[in-house]
Amino acid sequence: MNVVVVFCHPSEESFVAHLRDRLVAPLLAGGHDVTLLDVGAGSETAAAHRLVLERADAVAFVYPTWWSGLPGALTEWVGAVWPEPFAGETPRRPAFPGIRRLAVVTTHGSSRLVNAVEGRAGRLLLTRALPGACHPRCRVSWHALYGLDRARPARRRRFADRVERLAGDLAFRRA
Amino acid sequence: MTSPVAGPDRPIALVVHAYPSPHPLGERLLDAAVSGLTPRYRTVVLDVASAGYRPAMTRKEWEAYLTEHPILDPVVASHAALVVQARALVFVYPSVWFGLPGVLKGWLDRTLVPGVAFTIGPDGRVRPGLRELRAIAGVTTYRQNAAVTRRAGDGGRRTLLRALRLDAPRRVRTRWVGLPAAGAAAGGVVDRFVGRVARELAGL
Repeated sequence: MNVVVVFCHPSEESFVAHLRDRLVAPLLAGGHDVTLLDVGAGSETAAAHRLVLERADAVAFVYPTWWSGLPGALTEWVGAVWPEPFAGETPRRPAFPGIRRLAVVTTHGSSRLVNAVEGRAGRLLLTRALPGACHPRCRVSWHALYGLDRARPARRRRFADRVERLAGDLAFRRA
Repeated sequence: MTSPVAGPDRPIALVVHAYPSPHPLGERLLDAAVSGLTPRYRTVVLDVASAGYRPAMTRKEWEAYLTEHPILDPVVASHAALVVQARALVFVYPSVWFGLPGVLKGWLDRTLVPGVAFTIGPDGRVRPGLRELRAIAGVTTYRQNAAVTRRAGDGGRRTLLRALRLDAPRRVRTRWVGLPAAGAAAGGVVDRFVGRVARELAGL
C-alpha cells in the first residue's frame, strides 16, 4: 500500500518527530511504500506533492497544534496542494479518489477543554473539509494528545504507543 | 508598514493584511477597513503576504519559544511591539479552506509568542497578555457559499474570535465581516460588501 505521511515540525528533537518515527517504522516493517513529506523543510513544488497524493491509498498528518490549528507552513501546504472547490462547482471526481484512509496525529499544549473553547479549527479542516477531496468512503480518525505542556513522561509514552499501533489500522491492506 | 498622519493620542489599530499583491478586491477591502478605522484610531497596516514574509517557524525559533527571548527575527520583533500596544487587531485576508491562509497562520505562530500574547506562570498555566486590546475584527472573502462555510465550521473566524480572544481582556469587542462565494459575486454585491466593511469597522 502507498502510505503518505505528511510531517510538519521545525525540530527533529521534538516529540512530534518521535511520533512520526513511531508511525513510520511499523509501516516500513510491514512492507508498505511510505512517502514522507517533510513540510516546511523541502523545496519540492505543490505539483510534485499532488502527484504523490494521487497515488496514495492512505494519508497521515503528524504535526503540533498551534493556535488551535495547523502550523503556518502546513496551512500553506494544504492551500497549495489540496484543490479547494469554488462555490457551485461540483468537481466531476474528487482530487484524490484513491485516498480511502486519513489519520491525524497531533499534540496540543493546552487541555481538551481549552481547545474546545478555541474552536478546533485544525480538526475541522482535516477531518471535515479535506476528506471531501478523497474517496467518498474515506475513513477518518483523530489521535490527539492534549495538555502536552504538563504531560508526564508516562502519558507521552502511552500516546506514542498508540500512534505505533495506528500503523496497522492505517495500512488497511497487506503490503 | 504605513503610518498615516494622526495625533499621537489616538489608540492604535493594527491591520494585518494577507491578500497577495496585486489583488484588486483585497486592496479595496483594506482601503475600506482603514477608512472606517481612521477617525477613531491611528491605523498601522502590516502587509504579510508580500515582501517575502516567512510563515514557517525555524528550529531556532522553536527552541527559543519557551525562553525569555522567544523572538529572534527583527521583523517579527517590530510586529510584536505593535501587537502589545494595539487597541484593535483587524485581520483582512482571503479564506483558504474556510480558514486562515498559511502566511497569516504563520504570522500568528511567530508573532504571538509567550511574553507577547500570553504569559506562562510558574504553575504552567497560560494567562492572557494582550492587556491593551479592546477589539478584534476579521474581514474575509470565502470561496464557498455561506451554508457550506457554516457547515465546515468557519475555521478562520474560530481561530481569531475564539482562540485569539482568550488572550484579550474579557470585555473585548469582536466583529466579523465575510463575503461568501466571493469569486462568483456580482459587482453590486461586492460594492455593498466593501461599504459594509467600512461601516462595521467605523463602529469598532
